[in-house]
Amino acid sequence: MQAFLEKLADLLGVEPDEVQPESRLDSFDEWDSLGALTVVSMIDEDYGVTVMSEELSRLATAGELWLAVQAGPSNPGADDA
Amino acid sequence: MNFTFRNMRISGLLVVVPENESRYDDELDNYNFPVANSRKLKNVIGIDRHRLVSGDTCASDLALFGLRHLIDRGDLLPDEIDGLILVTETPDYFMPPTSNVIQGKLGLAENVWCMDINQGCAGFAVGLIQGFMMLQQEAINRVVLVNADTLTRTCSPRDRNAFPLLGDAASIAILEPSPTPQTIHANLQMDGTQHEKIMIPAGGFRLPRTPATANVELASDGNYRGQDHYHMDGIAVLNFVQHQIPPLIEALLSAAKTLKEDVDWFMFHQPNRFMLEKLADKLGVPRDKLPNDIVEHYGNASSVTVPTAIAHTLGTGLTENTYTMCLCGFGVGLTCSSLLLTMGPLQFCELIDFPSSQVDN
Repeated sequence: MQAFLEKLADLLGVEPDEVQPESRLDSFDEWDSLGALTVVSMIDEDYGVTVMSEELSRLATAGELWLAVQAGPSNPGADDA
Repeated sequence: MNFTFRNMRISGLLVVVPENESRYDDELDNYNFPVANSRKLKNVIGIDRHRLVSGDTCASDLALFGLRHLIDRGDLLPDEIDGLILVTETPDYFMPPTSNVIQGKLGLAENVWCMDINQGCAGFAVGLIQGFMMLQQEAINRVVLVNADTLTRTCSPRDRNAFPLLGDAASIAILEPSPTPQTIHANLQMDGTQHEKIMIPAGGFRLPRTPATANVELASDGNYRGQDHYHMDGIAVLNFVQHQIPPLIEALLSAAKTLKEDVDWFMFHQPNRFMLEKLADKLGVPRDKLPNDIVEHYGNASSVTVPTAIAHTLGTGLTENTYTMCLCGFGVGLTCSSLLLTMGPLQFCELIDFPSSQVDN
């Protein structure tokens, strides 16, 4: 999870220790729809998991996002990842 | 659904962009985000400048300007047009079809088959499929495919998720029988369950425009827009591209018995550079074979990005050379479509400016 949080921090443009499991995603300036695009793309590329738009809007914190990544492909069409 | 078309070609391509250009750096204060954050996105996503129509310029004005340019130059003979397809999401009116408006203004013959198609980012491929189907009729020897949109007029200027990425443009492609044998392969998929992912909610009969729909509010993504405005769920579009496009292209190439390495150019719809870089990687295609710089030069003008990518990248090179091209569009509907064809040498392949003063009422 630490490596994931550091990747998240890099994409959100903050120091590595600024993203903690309880950090709210919407507390980061970069967490808008275009910023989220880079995060969803990183998760697809590095973890082979597709976080769907509807799911993403339900996730509040970095830790919840990590749980979603661990849960694996959220969509039957994601088998190409 | 898969299609094959025999002995047809694109014989000429013209793109028209408004000369009026706006720079992202000059728009940052419009957005509800820290300027430093907006600047960072510029490099990551690939945003810089875009072309916008001014005043009440319509898609048909851009189209007519281009058609007259071709007619004046002798590259298009009005008497030889049998079919006129206009792909647009920004028509002049609900009724009549805008293709009929164009036919009337150009004084085309009464037996021209005019057809409007309501399609967006997949609209160049969809328009080509329709045009090639028309050409299968013996009575039809030349189809003019017009793609034209003025999306910036539909969009909230305070929506950083859409406005800086969008542009206005038109393209004209001439479709006709090919003197040399060639088979064009195409495929098409629709997912209407996701029709709300890219839409203008108000203005039709389901939700007519009212002062309430015009009201601009702060949306959950931090942007200001109303129900009268264009709205795109960028993550849903990314999901769609991640899932649908690689298998779509694999199926196309497999049906055409063509290897990726044998394709000279992958001319894809361009929502932004970032998404196309990731898509090229996922497809296993070198990034320099899949151009991705149209949004930062002109903006995403819906179905016109594919012809713009062709004209901007290859220009007059396509009047001398022949390339194997894989074209692909994806977006509103949600719809995705791809084609594999040989292009060139074309009679013309050009990108011209539409003067700001030119409006055809």
